Amino acid sequence: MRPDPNELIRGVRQLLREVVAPELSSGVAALSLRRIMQILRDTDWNETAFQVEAENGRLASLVGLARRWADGDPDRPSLIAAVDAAVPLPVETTTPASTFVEAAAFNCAQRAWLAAFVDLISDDPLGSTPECRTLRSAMAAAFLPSRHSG
Amino acid sequence: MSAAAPDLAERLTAFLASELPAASDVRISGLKRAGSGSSSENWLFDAEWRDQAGHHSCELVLRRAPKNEIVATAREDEFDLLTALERSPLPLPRAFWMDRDGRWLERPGMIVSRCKGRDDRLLLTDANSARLGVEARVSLARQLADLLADIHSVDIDSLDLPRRFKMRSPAAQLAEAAAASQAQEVEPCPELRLVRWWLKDNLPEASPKPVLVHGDFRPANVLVLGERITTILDWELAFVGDPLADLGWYLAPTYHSEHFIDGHWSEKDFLERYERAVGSTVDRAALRFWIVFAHYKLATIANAAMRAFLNGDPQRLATRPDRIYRPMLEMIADGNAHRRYA
Repeated sequence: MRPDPNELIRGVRQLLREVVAPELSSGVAALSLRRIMQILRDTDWNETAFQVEAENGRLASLVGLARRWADGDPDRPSLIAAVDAAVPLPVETTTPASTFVEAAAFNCAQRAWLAAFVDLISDDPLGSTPECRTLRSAMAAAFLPSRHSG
Repeated sequence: MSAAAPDLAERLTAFLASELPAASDVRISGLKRAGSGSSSENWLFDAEWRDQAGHHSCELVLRRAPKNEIVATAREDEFDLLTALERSPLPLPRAFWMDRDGRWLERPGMIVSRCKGRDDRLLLTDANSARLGVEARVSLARQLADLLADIHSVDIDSLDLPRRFKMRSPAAQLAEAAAASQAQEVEPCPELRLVRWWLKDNLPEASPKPVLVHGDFRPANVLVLGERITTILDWELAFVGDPLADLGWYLAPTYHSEHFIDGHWSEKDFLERYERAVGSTVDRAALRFWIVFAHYKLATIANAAMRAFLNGDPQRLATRPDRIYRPMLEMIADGNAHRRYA
């Protein structure tokens, strides 16, 4: 695939830097251009769709971690049932999404489920127990290799 | 003058005329926008008028709410605080007039004196605009620590602060920040909910000695002339609370490259200088909460900007907010991670 998205963006940045930037006389416009250049530079445009797919895998692991944690105590399944009722999760598939929109929708659904789970547990007296603190640390650690590494 | 300026010049002239009823021949000149203005629009201008005392000429700044305001009462808070601090020894712009409801200036805005010096968020870095060497930058870094100590040493009981500046407990601050965080999310953020859970679980006691907290103290928010800091700017996030709130904000890892000078000025240097200036010791373990909390609030500001951008405000174009989640996640995943930051 030539040019790939990164090559195209590299060309756009070069044009902005060499042709547009020298013509700017306004400080506000120059700052705006600097911001545009930074955003174009900081994103790996070739990898965006694959990053969403990879994150979907990590989010699925986190959902699994929460469900396994719930299985370990008789009081906990009700918590999971409450989350499932509030935020139904689409059936997990093993095949990759066929479009970016599909992958992003699954990403959002899993994020919503995990957010609801964390909200419920943090507002529950269970949330202050050592076991829950361990779960929280594990979940935070599980997010670290995600897109937050940029 | 930019395209938006002629209309604004007329508005400013009318506003000043209304604020100076005894004045005649009110004129505005040199109106131009400064900076990128993510939290405020800053417009520099000169004003002239005549009254019984003679001819007056002032160099002024209009700080006006941006189209998508993140902190709704920001300018009003800043104006009232600057007014209350007018007799303090802190180097501040003088607040003159405030259009509280935006009737005159389209959006709420205040007019303050234009102070000498330039702002530069890269002040302490190699890329600073004045090409200052390491020695000068370390000197400025020391001045920053001293100035923060000065802010925290202001006698708040002697100030005529509006009621909304009353002391807020960490629990109240967290509740407010959590509501704002959730309202500004551009997608469900379990990361931020995890951080809120950790913050709730690690709430410190309210400070026994509340101080004036700047709320956004950093090199980007001071003016520098030569090698001297002349003015502390941007008081819109100020409140009365724990001094560790400002320290946590300054030490937020996302700002590391702008606040410290590798090999010359570290977090340890900053804290020791501050401790000497205030005459007390900072509880390093307690700082962990405030560093995480600072990042949590920074994430909200980033999400609010991104929300405004997605809603059609191109001025809020920024990098993805989730880039600043990592230090928080590290600190709540590992009890020792904060030691890298303070």
